[in-house]
Amino acid sequence: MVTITTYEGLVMVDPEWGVAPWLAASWDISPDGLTYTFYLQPHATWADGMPVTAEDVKYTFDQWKEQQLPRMLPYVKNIESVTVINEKTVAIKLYDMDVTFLSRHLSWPSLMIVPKHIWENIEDWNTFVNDDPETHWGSGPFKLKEWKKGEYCQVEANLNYWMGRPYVDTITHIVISNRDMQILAFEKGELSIFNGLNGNEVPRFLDPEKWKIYTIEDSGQPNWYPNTRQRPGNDTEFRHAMWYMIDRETILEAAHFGYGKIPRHMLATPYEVGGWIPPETVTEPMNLTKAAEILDAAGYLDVNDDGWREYPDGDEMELKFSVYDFERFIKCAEILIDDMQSIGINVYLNVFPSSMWAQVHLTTFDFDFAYFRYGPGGGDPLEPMSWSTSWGDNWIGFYNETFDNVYLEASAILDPDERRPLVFELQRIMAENYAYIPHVCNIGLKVLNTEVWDPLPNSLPWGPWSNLQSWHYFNVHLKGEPGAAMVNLAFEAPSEAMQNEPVVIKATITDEEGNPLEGLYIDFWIEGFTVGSQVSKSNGVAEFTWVPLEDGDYEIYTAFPGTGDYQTATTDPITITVGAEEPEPEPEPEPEPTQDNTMLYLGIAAVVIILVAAWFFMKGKK
Amino acid sequence: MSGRDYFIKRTVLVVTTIFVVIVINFFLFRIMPANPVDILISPTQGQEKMGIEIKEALMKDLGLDRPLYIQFIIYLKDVLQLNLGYSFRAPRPVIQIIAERLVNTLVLMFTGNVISILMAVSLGVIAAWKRGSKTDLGSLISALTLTSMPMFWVGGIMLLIFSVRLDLFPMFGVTKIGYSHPNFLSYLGDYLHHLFLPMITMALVSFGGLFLIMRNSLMDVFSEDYILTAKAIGLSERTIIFKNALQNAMLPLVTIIAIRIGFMFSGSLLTETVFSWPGLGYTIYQRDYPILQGTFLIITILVVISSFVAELIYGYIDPRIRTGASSG
Repeated sequence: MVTITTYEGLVMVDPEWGVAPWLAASWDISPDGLTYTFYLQPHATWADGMPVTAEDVKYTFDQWKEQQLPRMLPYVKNIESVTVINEKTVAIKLYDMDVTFLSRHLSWPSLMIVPKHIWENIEDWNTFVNDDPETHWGSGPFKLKEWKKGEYCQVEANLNYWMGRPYVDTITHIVISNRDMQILAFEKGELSIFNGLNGNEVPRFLDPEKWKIYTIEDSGQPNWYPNTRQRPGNDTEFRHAMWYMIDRETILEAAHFGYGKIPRHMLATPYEVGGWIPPETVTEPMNLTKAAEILDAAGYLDVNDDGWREYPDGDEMELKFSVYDFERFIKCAEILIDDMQSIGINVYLNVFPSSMWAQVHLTTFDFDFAYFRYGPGGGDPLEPMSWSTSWGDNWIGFYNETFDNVYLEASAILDPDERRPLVFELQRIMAENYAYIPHVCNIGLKVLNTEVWDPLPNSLPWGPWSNLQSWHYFNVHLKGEPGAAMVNLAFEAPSEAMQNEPVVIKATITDEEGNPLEGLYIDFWIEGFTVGSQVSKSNGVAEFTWVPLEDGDYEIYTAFPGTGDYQTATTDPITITVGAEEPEPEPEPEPEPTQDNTMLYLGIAAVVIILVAAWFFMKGKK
Repeated sequence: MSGRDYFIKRTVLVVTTIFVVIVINFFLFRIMPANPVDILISPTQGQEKMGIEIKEALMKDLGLDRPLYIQFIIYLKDVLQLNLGYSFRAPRPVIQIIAERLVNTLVLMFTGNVISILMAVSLGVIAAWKRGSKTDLGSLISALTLTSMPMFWVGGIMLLIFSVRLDLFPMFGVTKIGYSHPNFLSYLGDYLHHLFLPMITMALVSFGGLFLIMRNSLMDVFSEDYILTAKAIGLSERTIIFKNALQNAMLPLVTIIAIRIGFMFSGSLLTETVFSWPGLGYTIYQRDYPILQGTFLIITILVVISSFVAELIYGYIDPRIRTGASSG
């Protein structure tokens, strides 16, 4: 958490899963895809004022390779050599072509560039701890101020930051070991930001005078996995039946409290932004009858009439569904298990401490189903795909030769547009094989204390790069160049709408002379939440489509979070009245069952009997 | 048996116990489920993409691929030199991490329990002397109530009332963040301000049991003939309670305290997690083998030594123990 504010990487993953410049202002890739030449930012310096040079970059990679630190190996193992071309130019040569190299292995915060003139004095790498404010110098907007182990860590503004001084003077990371206490401390105002709010906790933070809630779509893949190493997971027909057993609507409501999205295909919903998901929708609504029919046809029948289905050869079927001890995962699994049991599949829940998860799923493979979120750091869609290749982690044991070949073919194409059809094909192969079943994509919630954040200019805490955990430290508080230009922001939306019907909100951003501005992020706010960000097109218009789920009045406005060139802008809110859908005729209310008081009467009778017995006993004693 | 023999016998026993502890401490963590390396790459860390080859590299790096007996010999040698290894997470010496935090744990445990013992003894005396009075009944009910409440709950309620609602005490840490204290007194004041809530919570929770023992054993003593004699010869109430009764009634209390030393540590570790008090409590939840082993070793040795001290005190209070004479 600390080093992401004090050190920087060469590149950054942008919201459309492309790669954006960072310490490297630009780069070339050789036609064979093996050599990457980076041109560093001319003004970038370390916190002590020394320039960031190609030597530093070479030193960083050489050290990680030389020291063989296991944690750093995945990032550098494909690097053959690093060559300094001149003070600000450096070339990296790879052994094998890897189109995910930039987004997966070079992007901050995976790999950070360190200053050679400080780090070369390290005597023993095995015992080196980077905790001394005198030498913890990166090129980032903050530098280490004080680190009290187990209590807190404070970073302060780097006044010499090469992109300008940050607005925030200090950031303190505090250790609070108990989640309930974290929320209490946030409510009390001791903390200014809280990550990972649960949907059911939202009502506590609705007061706009005090708090602002942001929603962030999770790029991780939440899936229901069969263990395809063993039966019944190795039977495509069984997996085909699983495809219809999942009640995403209920899971969305009961486990995500409405903060989630139902995916259309194998990749998580945020990949829609880059156009990485095929046009067709493959996920199907729950249909237990169909699932039961498929199972019947495949021979999974209840032959001994014990209420549970048996394997086609007549063996008893008792299946283990494992999740780790994360509340939402357990709830999702319970809903799934209920549905499976209702069609005669004998399955039970097995909850692990998260620390044992990897043991079970990487070593012993002792599970039939698992619910799990596979979390790529964002970036190229091939990254989550690599997991399912026969050389990937792939602990469910799904191996498919065609998939491997298409993956290899795709990973040799640098141009995203040329690669897209192959990424579609990879997803289709998975869907046809029902390798795993897409679940509900989570929408994360973060809440801010407005007293701290509102006075800050550009104070949208994670800016457009909302898919990245901590980008806000960089994006928000950088003081723009002097004389930042004003913008005009306006938006239009219908004043009336219908429930469950899309509403198009159009925001237009222009400069002071009225020329449209392209490529800027506009945020759309509904009832105090950012519900989405869109980029302005060449005509300065950013369009957002919103589907109101309930009737009522909604206050809507748009905001521009600002950039180094332009100042922030916010529009006045307007109110949209959403009418209710034609209500279905309400069923006759069932007569309320009369309360059963039997237990109460029994209890009273028991007490009376005891009292009488006690009275007799006492009397006898006298 | 002379006092010196008693001391030597006890010392030999303590040393043997510590050795057994070292052996158990080594093997206990080896037979636990889950490999520490798996934890380093656990899914919650978002590092699962590291894969199995990295896992093997880590195992080798940490020496976990060598035979168990070799791991044990290396461990034994290091422990004798107080070298408890390096943490898996941050490459710092374990003994250094433990030392930083042990002070906080000991302060919390010591102050919390001293207050609870003082409360238990003084209220116990009053309750036993004024047996059946409103004071007796009141303290009996509160003792029973407090004993039956779980620590984390009491801690949470204390935080809610005194920290969140009334804003009298801080919610976390040992000192104010980023504040440089001009002198030691101001540091001490700040430290005590942070210590107050966890300390009182510990004291309240352990008070009940001690109070009940104190009260009951005093009541037994009060019914003895020599107390009646003391009353008959006209000694003052104060002399009877403090000179004649209390010394005898303390015996069961000291026994209980000696037995409870282990619980005092665990109570302190639990309290720490509720109040984010940076003691050993937080470190042991991280499944960092060297830290875990080091913490368990240090805590067990401390418990063994404290029990040893308690026994010596016990021997001092009750000569029957050290001479091995039978009562009667």
